[in-house]
Amino acid sequence: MTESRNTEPRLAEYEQLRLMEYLDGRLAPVEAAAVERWLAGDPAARRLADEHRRTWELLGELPEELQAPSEAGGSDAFRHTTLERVRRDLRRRPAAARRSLALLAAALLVVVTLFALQEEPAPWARLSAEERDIVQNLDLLESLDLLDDYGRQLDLAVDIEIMRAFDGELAEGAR
Amino acid sequence: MSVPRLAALGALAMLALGFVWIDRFPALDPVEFQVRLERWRAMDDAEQRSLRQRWTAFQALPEERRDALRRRKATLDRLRRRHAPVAAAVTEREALEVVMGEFERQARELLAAEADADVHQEVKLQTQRRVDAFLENLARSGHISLDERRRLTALPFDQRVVESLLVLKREQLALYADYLAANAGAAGAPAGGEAGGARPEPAELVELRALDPIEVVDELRDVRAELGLLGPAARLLQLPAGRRAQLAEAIRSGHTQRVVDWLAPHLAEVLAERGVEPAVIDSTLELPFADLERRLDRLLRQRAPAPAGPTGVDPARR
Repeated sequence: MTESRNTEPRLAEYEQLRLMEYLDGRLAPVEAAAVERWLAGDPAARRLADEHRRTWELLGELPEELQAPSEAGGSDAFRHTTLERVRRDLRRRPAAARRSLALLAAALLVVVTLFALQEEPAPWARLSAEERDIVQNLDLLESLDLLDDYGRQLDLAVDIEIMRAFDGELAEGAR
Repeated sequence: MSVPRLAALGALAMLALGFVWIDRFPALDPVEFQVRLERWRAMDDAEQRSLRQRWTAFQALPEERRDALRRRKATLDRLRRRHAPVAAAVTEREALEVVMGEFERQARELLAAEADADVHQEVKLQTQRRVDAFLENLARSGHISLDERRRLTALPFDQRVVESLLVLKREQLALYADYLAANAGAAGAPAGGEAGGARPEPAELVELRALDPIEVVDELRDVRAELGLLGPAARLLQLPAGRRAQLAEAIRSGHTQRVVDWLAPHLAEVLAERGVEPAVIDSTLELPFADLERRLDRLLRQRAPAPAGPTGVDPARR
């Protein structure tokens, strides 16, 4: 692959995948050795590997002694340490999320408790659901006999009210 | 923690707070609920047991029957509130019979029904004609589309009435809002909130929105009885006190044609001042009362008042 001076190293997609698998430690020893031979002879691939290493440095604190595989004296040490850093970083994230969640839940609990304690308990708070319904409908329940005894007249009154609601839609002569 | 998880947690918290909040307030006004609660607590076990049985029986009724009982109760409350109390010596049932008898007599007079006519049938027939006229008037004035009118007209009668009442409530509140806005503007209140924001809704409208349609019509009938009609025109009418009393009586008893006849000369003047063509004025004043209100609302919102000058109307001439 021809590389341009002004662009980052470009590898074929297959080669990038291989490089990532190598850096993740997911290659069998024979395959990993092949990638290391390739990196030793391919400046573009080596540059890309350096880019990835610098990216991981931004994610975690990569000590100075961690250098390119050839300078560190072994790709195993580089890979092992880098992966450890990544794993420690991933473990920290869920723990941080759990702490945030716990803090938020605690804050909400405090708010709700203060809110609930701020006022006196409502009078309906001690009623059962049935009692609450009965109290709400007390007037209706006490009037049921009257509503039945005068049902026909009240139904007429209801109809008259509805009719009167549309007063003025018809001229009186047209009714 | 990721933003979506935080947002989900926040939403759950709001939901939980909402359930707490809703559970704190019954559907009834808290003050009214407290009054009823005290009555309940003052009852002995036998009375409370009897009411529990009534509640169980009530809940076992079909939904239509429960709705009918609730409507009767609402009407009963309005009759008790609005009609003059009878002599204290009569029982509650006797007082109720007097009130309902008077109510029916007024309806017969309004319908010009014969004494032995079946008023129930007459009322149903008149209601159907008025509702159909209401829908046609709304469609003609552009308040509802023709499709919506067709849909409503095709509904079974009871459902048509229910939906028409909801449309009526919406329309009446809009008309009252126009009147309140015109009043606020005339009083020099700012047209909008700060920096051109929306004006907060007046307290009267907020209260009316919570009522059922019949209650809204009832309340606004009282407002009309004071003003003559609703909408921006109300503010422009300057009627002598005696005429106002006659108008109030005509509006409360449903003789709306008389209202139109009495208001016509004053309305003609108001419209002419705003440059409305004579032919439009004539056709407007021939409309039935409710349609007249709608037309006036539209005309007066479209037409700004003419500049003050020698042609300005002398209030003493009204």
